Amino acid sequence: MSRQSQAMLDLIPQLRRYARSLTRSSHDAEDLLQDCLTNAVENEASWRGTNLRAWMTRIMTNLNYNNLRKNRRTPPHIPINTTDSDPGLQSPNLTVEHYAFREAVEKLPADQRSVLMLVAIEGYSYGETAEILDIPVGTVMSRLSRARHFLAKQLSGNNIVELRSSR
Amino acid sequence: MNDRNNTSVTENDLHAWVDNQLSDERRQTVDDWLETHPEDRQKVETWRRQNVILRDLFPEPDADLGLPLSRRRASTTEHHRTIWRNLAAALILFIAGGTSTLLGQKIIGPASREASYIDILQKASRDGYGIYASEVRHPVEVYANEKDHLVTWLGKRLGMSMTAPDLETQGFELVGGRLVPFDGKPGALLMYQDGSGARLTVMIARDPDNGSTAFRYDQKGSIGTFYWVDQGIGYALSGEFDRDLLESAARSIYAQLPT
Repeated sequence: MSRQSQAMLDLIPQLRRYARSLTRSSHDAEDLLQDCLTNAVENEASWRGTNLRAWMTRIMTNLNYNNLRKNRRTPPHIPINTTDSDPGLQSPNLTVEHYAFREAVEKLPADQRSVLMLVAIEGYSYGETAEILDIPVGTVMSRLSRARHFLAKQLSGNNIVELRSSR
Repeated sequence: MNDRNNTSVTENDLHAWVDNQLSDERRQTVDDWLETHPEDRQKVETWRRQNVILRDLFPEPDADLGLPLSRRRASTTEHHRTIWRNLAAALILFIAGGTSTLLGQKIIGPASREASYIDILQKASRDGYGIYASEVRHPVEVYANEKDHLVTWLGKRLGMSMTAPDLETQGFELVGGRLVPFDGKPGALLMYQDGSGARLTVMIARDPDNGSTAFRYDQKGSIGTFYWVDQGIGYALSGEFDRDLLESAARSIYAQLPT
């Protein structure tokens, strides 16, 4: 196994988390991860040898956009019981708030969702995020802002916690 | 220019503050700004909470889950487990439905139809609790944040006007609800939970014989069920609570029904 292939394998856990954060089920996430790995191996030559993780993250983001474009008919609701609980979603500490939030995330436009996940989950700086997605930093900021306002709106006022006081 | 005196903190600064992407100096400026701008303070608190929830939902990766092929197999197993669970749920409901026909028409005869309906009611309620209350990710189809839609939708499917009973006095808040098969017809399963996350389900389904009964209580294993039929609509509460609490919740629901 080449050094580079080993480096790719080492990145799998992180890439899997990113794939989960972009897709609606662990099943879709595994498919996306597999596609990303295949694509990365096939296009190894086009890697300029800088940051392998950022490069693969970019490949995954683009593959995800392609998938979404292909499946435009994606229903607006998460289908019930078509996915098993993600291992990552079985923590006993998760509350109804988490699940309501997870559903709100499903309604986020894909471009805003990638920016939010790269910043909030993957911990990339705004500059790195801009580079990975090949967009200006200003666009990163506006997508991030729209994503956060959207989620806040989805969950404010009528959320489950506040139901208690609102009657 | 002294940053401390620079009052032009932008929304981008607020995002960067939340994401720890400010220089120490700039961070101090924003800290000071937030002291006197409660609306912005509210914004950053909301966003910070979003980050926390996202990190809970997508935790640090587990290093030993590295190899894709083994995970692929595991994922397929999970998928199969889901199929099996759905199949099991379908079978239970099928049996419940089948029993009704058997008991209602062939063995016991028409005189006992009401008894068979009430048996189905308590069994379906217990099964509903058993299947869905432990469901972590999809406990309900429609969450309480869409309460109006939830009751309209379920009411329409059941052919009755419906409200979600308020069980706050007993310490329960509504999680949401789902449509379930009930003796071959639509039934509604509402789910509540208390502060500790313990759940209580309320099954609501029409009684074709339009009966009414007294309160009844049944316990199988750790699951207690309170159930009754009122003016042609059956209600059943199931949960792993003591009888007094279930009874108090049942009476509260009864008191909230339109007379």
